This record gives sequence, structure tokens and C-alpha cells, in this order.
Amino acid sequence: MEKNYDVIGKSVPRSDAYAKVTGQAKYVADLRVPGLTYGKILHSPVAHAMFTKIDTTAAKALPGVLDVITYEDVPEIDYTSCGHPFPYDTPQDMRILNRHARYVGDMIAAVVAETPEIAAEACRLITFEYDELPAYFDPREALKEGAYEIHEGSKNLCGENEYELGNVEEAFKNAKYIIEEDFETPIIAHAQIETHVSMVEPDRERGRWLVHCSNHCPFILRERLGHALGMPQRAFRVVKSYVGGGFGGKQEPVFEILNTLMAIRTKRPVILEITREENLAMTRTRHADLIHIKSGLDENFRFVARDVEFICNNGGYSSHGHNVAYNQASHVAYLYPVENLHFRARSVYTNIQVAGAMRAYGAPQWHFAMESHIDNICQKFGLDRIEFRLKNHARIGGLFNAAGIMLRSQNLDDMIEYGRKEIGWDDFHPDNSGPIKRGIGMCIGNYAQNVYGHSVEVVGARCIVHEDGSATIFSGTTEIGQGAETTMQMIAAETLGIPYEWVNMPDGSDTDITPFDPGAYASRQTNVGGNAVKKAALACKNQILDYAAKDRELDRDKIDIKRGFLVNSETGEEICPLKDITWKMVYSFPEAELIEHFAYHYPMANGLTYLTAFAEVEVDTETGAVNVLKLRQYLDSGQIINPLAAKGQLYGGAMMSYGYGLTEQILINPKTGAVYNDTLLDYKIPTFADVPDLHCEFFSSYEPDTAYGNKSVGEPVNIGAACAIRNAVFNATGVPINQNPLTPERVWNHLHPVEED
Amino acid sequence: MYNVDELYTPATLEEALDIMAKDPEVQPLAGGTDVVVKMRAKNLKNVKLLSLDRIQELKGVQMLEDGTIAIGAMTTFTKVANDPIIIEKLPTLRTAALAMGGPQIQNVATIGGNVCNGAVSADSAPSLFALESKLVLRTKDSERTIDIADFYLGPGRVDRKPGELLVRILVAPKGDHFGCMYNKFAVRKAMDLAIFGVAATCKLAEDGTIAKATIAMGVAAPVPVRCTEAEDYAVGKIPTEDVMAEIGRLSLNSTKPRDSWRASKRYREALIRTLSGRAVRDAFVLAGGKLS
Repeated sequence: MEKNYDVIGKSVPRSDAYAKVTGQAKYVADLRVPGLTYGKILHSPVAHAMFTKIDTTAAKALPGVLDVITYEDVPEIDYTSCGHPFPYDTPQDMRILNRHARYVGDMIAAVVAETPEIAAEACRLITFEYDELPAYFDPREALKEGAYEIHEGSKNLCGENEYELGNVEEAFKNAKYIIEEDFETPIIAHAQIETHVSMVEPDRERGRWLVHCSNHCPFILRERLGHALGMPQRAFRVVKSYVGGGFGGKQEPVFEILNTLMAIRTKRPVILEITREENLAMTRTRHADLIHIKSGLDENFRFVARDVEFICNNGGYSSHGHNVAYNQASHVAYLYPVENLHFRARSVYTNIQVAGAMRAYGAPQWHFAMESHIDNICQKFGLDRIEFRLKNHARIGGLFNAAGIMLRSQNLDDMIEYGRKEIGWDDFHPDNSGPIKRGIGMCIGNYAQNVYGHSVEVVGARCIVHEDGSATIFSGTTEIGQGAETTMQMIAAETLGIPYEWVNMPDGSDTDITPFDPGAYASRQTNVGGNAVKKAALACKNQILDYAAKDRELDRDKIDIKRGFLVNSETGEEICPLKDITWKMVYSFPEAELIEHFAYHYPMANGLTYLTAFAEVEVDTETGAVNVLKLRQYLDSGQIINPLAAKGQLYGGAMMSYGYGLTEQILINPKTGAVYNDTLLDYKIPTFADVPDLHCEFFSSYEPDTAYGNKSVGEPVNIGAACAIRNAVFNATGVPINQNPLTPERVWNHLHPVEED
Repeated sequence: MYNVDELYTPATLEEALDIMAKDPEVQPLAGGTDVVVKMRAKNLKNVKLLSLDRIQELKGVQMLEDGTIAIGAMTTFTKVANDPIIIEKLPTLRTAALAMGGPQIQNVATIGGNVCNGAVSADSAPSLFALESKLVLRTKDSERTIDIADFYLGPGRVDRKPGELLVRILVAPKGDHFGCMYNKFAVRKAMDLAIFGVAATCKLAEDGTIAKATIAMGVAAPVPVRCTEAEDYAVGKIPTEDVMAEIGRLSLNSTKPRDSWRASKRYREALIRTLSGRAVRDAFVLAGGKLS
């Protein structure tokens, strides 16, 4: 739907771009204050153990050491690091430092020292003894009858759920075809270029603590600090400045609470910046899932029954607990709706690094399995892969009550048609007689806008129009590099009817100043925060128009503000500069008016962003190497607010998914549980040299009940490429690979099974 | 993070060798892309570094009177890749240089440092082995020239004697009808270690068959290796599919691939079999050979 906007839909550079590109932006690790000290963590070297003795004498005696903290010194309060708003939806199962270590890397002690070198040396001087416990790295082992409970009384289940729609057993009886398959996805790392980092300063005068963080959820962090430290929440002021990559990994306080405890105990400012190795091996990951899908189809190859089971490897603590699986529980229902559906998921404690939130929250795992499953079905029955999807995908009008989803906008079929032509789908007849074979593949996908239907959803915004007609907005919307602040400024400018350049927004979040926001997750910021900003801006605009109508004796219904002018809303004719009105409002004597409004928004609906991806690959069947020749990703994300920033997400997300499809996986030593590949050399995120012929475009629909017809961008873009590439490899080789990533060795192993050697 | 006691920055080779003679514990520092990483990873203390960066006589590529190509040990990979002599005569070294790390690494990492680091995955090694390069090593009082194959002793271990510096790498003239190539097999196209690397050279006979072939591999054994059995077999042949398969089979005899979490033995053997034959074929074609 074409709308006539002045600001929305026109590319502007992000408001933080200049500061970042020129190096002027101060990230947390750039902060230097007088008396700054340095924290360092001692991690468990074993996967599962009860520590029986810890000796810090030598560490404390080292000159320059200010404090050594062990599991014996932390508050006896259980908490979860999950960055979700109250009510708590995950088990409170960890301490700030843990006597019972549950994975290689679990935090057992920490040091504060005058230099990072001394802190590291002191950690090495701490000696300890422990009793080793049985360790499980595979969730199937942890689920076995009689397995040692990693958390007492848990049966190693961090969470589970099950539901049934219709009558699945009956539907399978009547199904013409039944296909049953297993899929497996890897543990992957967020691999933010900025490792986790925080810096905590004491405010002695007020008895408060200023927590500088690189975190998605400053307000939830404040709440978590109060809970875990057993202190009033008001003791903490959380400031988030620039974030050098989050992707969900910083959607919870992994280290900030420990860092704050360090500052409380030493009464000194303390910075805690972890190393690359810690960041890859001892933070949070995307869950590795075992996914079982059983599909029943009728004679027309429509889905009539579906039975899905997930086993999610959750690692040593709950983090986001079962919530990722809850999101998957929704996803299985709404891309290809089916009347008879059974879903069961278990999130399982194991003795590995903790799995938490990661970009697209369970959707990449589900889409990899389901989109592979569909291509496997099509291959088996000789069906056209695109036609099968067109026949089975949900269309406008779909209502998925369990997930709060109302499907009210969709431009999927146009995108598929465009991709089909662009990739040359119908004329693809490669000569695959040699060892190097070409193939094409595609997939579709979708993703929600917020967490309506699941949990608390509310954001505040404040808008001030100054006497010169310019504006300042304060929005809870958390900028983590996705361009959220620029988006809010654009929405304010469009709503107020002033140029984008006239709207300012302070960089970053500050819990003493910024209106409340649960945080940057669920691709919710433009949807929820955008509506709050629009409401606050609209209230300011209405106040100005009311004043102008009265002051100038104009018909209130026939005036508007556009491009910084009061205009006749019917003819567009400029009546006067906006400043003429606002100046008079502020500087009138004695009856002045200030133009400032606060608003908040909670959504009452959740729509779906749609995507499709296409890939053409060549596979070297003698080495297993996959070379992506073309990659295309198209997104129906509603009205795009800032195409430049959204394209950054679309291309970047495609490459992140490319890594999920081909190269990325955290590998664990099966004997010790330690991470093998804890460097960026061995953990293989794609480089610029790996970017294939990649092209992305938007196909915008218009989503109701949003600020400007917008839908989500940041997460859905992270779903498609892996599936399309996998399906292209299948098309090239005829061998289905139901496990990602498709590394050369995995592809080769599938093409050359052992028995044929 | 880095604990450095001393940093020497001599401007001449003589000065550098003097320092090496006086203090055998000094660690020579070329581009630093291995040494500095190692210092952090191993938490090395009280390190004494001898930076070779200011020594101009160790930099650059020259062709000597007899046609021998001399590559200064301190020549960066960027310089190797863009040197006109290398591009014309030894393009395999250009390929190797551009396969190494990424542009930022190539701008500082040196070919001599790569050799002295002794890594089995060193991108320069297969090509330098296949080109039958010689190394010139000097101390304050002596100079010796050895085959590169004799320099590698084991993983990360090379035969650099106390007080010794690698000063240049020599490649004898190869004449016409000569082709060489390097194939790095890695998961990523930059910033990656080779899972396997193979370089091959071919010299053509009058009748269009192979007069001489060399095949050298990285990450196929504890040190880079030459595949002499396969090389001997290739003489007098044209690398058809069957010949390539046999070269692959024979190449395996010169290697000792192992299982590791980075790749299984079985997979490494498949790469050796496949890519050695292809390397000889590609070198043959580059030499001007006709496959049919």
C-alpha cells in the first residue's frame, strides 16, 4: 500500500553512524574514570563438580589485588539471568558464583585488582579442590532414567510443554501419505565483535551504583541487580551507551551482576571486560535442537496432521529456560497451518555452556527442520517445491490464538514469484555430469512483531516540542546497533510534521531518565516503541494545532503541520512557519504553554513478517565444498521506515544465516565438555571475502495497528539463507542433509558414507 | 596481557646478528602475527623481542644474475603478492600470499616469519617445498644454505640454530614450459587455516608429457611433505582422470593424516587423493600442457 510520507520510507544515515565510523563513540570498554580497577573471573575447569575447598590466600597476598570473591562470599539468593520482564518465567537456578559448577566455564571465583594483568595472575593463584560429578553433554543422556540431576529435583528438565489441536491420531489414520524425519541443529555463538563488558561506579554520596552496560535490557538489568544482590532496585542506575553487537546474547546480565558485586565490595569503579575465548565458550548460545517431525498429507499433498517433538539442549542453567521452545511451539502452527497438530518440547539441563536468547529465538532451528522436511517430501513424491509451499502456507485471515497472532498483511506470493524469476527457477538445467554439481533451493519463513500473547509488552515515550519547532524525544527503545533510535526520530518527525533533522534523541538509555522499556528483543522496538513515540508526538501536535486554531481563528479541522509549516490540510498551502506558533506558545505572558507529552503503548495484536530466500550453489562432490553462487533474500516487513538501516539488517542477517547454514558451530570435547573452538579463527563466522553474489529487497505490505504500517525486521532476516542453501545442496546432489551446518566434511560424509568406502 | 622486557629495533642485519649472538634468548619479531598471538595465548613473561622491521636489506624480491629469485625474509605477503617478478615467474606464491589470513594480516605478516614459525598449515610452505626453495640462514659469523625440506623438524619446530636469522629464500630458475599452483582448502575464503593445502609444479617435455612434477602438501603430516612416489609416477604422463587418480593414491603414501576435531583422517585422505591430482593437472595446464 503506497502512502505519501515526508520522512518515513526515505533513507537516512543512522544517528550514531558518524560517531561510530570516526571512532568517537565511547563504548563501555572506552570508559576511563579515576581509580578504575579491573575484574577477572575464575572459571570451573571441569564440566560438573562440587567444589569442596577454595584457597585464596596467595591471590589476596599478591600486591595490587583489592578483593577476591568466591562462591562462599555471594548472597544466598537464587536468580535467573533471563532478561524477561516480571513475572519470572524461568527457573531461578543460579548464584552469582557457584560452588556446584555445572559446565566448563561456570564462575566460581573472581578477583578485583589495580591492573588486568594482576587480576589474571591472582586468578591463577587461587587453588581449589572438588568432587567430580557425572557430566552430560547430550540431552538424551541427561534425560535417561537415573541420570544425575544437574539441578536437584529437576529430573534435568528446565522446562517442557505439550499441546494438541484437533485429533492427531485419527488424522494420521486418514492421511494418504506419512513422512517422519529427524533433524539436528548446532550450538552456535552470537560472536559479537564487542565481547561482554560492563563498568560499575560507586556514587558514594547517594549510596547508589552506576552500572554502565552493553545490554539489550537496561530496565530488566536494574530489576535483576536488585533481585540477585538482595538490594532495593533504587540503588542502581543503569546506563547503556553504544553496543558493539548483541544478537540476543546480551539480553541478560551474564556478568553485570558479578561486576556490580565487585564494585560494592571494593567501593571502587570496576570494569569487567571478558576475553574472546570467554565470550565464545562461557556466555550464552543458540540452543542445539533435536527435532522430530511427522507429517500427514492428503491426496492433494496438503498437510492434514503434524506431530513435532523438540529436545533443546539448554546447558547448565536456565537462562531463557523453556521460552525459546514456547516460541517454537507457536512457529510450528503458523507458517503451514494444520488442523491436527501435536507439539511437545523439552528443554534439558546438560553440562555445557548455557543456551539463551539468540536472534530469531528458536525460529532458525524450526525453519531449518521444516523447510528441509518439505524439500525432502517434494523429492520423494516428485513435487514442485514452490507449488507445494504456495499450496500449504497460511494466508491473510489466519488467526492463531495460542500465539496471539492475527495474519492481516502478507506479500509472500509476490516475493516468491519475483525470486523464482530472478534465480531462473524454471530454466535451471545444469550439466551435472562432472564432480562439481549445481543446484538451486528456496525456503519461506515468518516471524512475529512483539511478545503479545506471551508476556508483558509496554514501552514509554516522551516528546518535547521546543519553542523553535524542533523536538526532542525520549524513548525506552533500546539501541543495540539495529538503528532503533533513528527509527524513533523518523517516526516522531513524520508524526509532528517536521524535518527529520529537527528531531533529537539522546544516545543510549539511562534508567534514571529514559521511559521504561523491557528491552531490545522479539523484533518489537519499531512496533511497540514506534507506537508510543507516535502517541506522544501526536499529543504534542494536537496541542500545537489547538493553539494555532484558537490564536489565528482557523478551522481546527482544516489545518495540519507539514515540513515544519502550519499548512492548510486541504490545499497543502503554507500558512506560517511552525516556529511562529510554538514560539508564541512558550513565550506568552502570563499564560505560557509548554509542549511536552508522555505516552505509553501496549500492543493488542501481533502480526507476521514474511520472508523468502533463494540460493544457487555448486557442490564439489569430491571434497564436499559448497560454493554459494547466488543468494537472494526478500522480506515483507510492512512499510519500511528507514530503508538504509533495514537493508543493513537484511544483508547482515542473510550472512549470519549463511554462517548457520554452512560454517558455524560450537564444538565440544566429548570427554571433557570444554569448547574446542573458542577463537574467531576456529569459530567460523563468515568474512567479507565469503559474501556471495547477494541481493535483497523489500516487498512491503501494510500492517494495521502499527505506527506506520511497519512490521519486524531484525530477526526474520536471520532465518532464510541457511534453509535455502541447504535445499540447494540437496537439489545439486540428491542427498538430503538434515543437520546444519553443511561443512565440507559433513557434506562429503553424506556423499561418501562409510559402508561404500 | 603482554609482558615485554626488552624491544630491540636494529636498523641493519649486522646489528641484529650482534644482538642475537649476545643474547640467544631473544625472540626475533617479523610481522608479529604469530609471535604476538603466541605471547598472549601462552602468557609468556619477560619476553625480549628483536624487531626486524627496520632492516631494509631483508625486504623485497630480486632476480639474481643466474635467474635465481631471492625473496627477502622480511618481505610481507602483500609485497610478495604484488611483486612483478613473483607474478610473472612464481604465481603460485602470489596465490599462497593472498590465501594467507586476510588483507590486514598480509600487510604485516612476512614470508620469512611464516617459514620460521614452522606451522604445518603455513600457506607459504607447500609452494616453497614444491618450488624446491633453499633458505639462507646467517649468524654473526657464519652463513649456510639449506633445502627448505630440511628446515622443518616437527609441528612448530624448525632448524633455526641459536643466534641464527633466516635472511632470504632462493628459488632456482625454472625455465619455460613450467607451471605451478597452490590450492588451499579451508572452510572460509579468508582468515582461516588450511584443512589441507597442496602445491604442484609441472615442467613439460618436448612431447607434451610431464618431464618433471613436484607435489608438496601442508597439513598432511607433522611437517609439510613432498610426495616423491607420486612425482616419479607422473613423469612421462599426461594428467588424465586415471593418472590423476593414481597420483592421488600414491600421494597418500607420503602423508600421515590424523584425526582431530578439525577434520577426520578419513576426510583428510579424501582431500589428499582428490586435490593432489587436481593440482598436478592445473600446474600442467598452466605450463601450457594439453590434456587431450
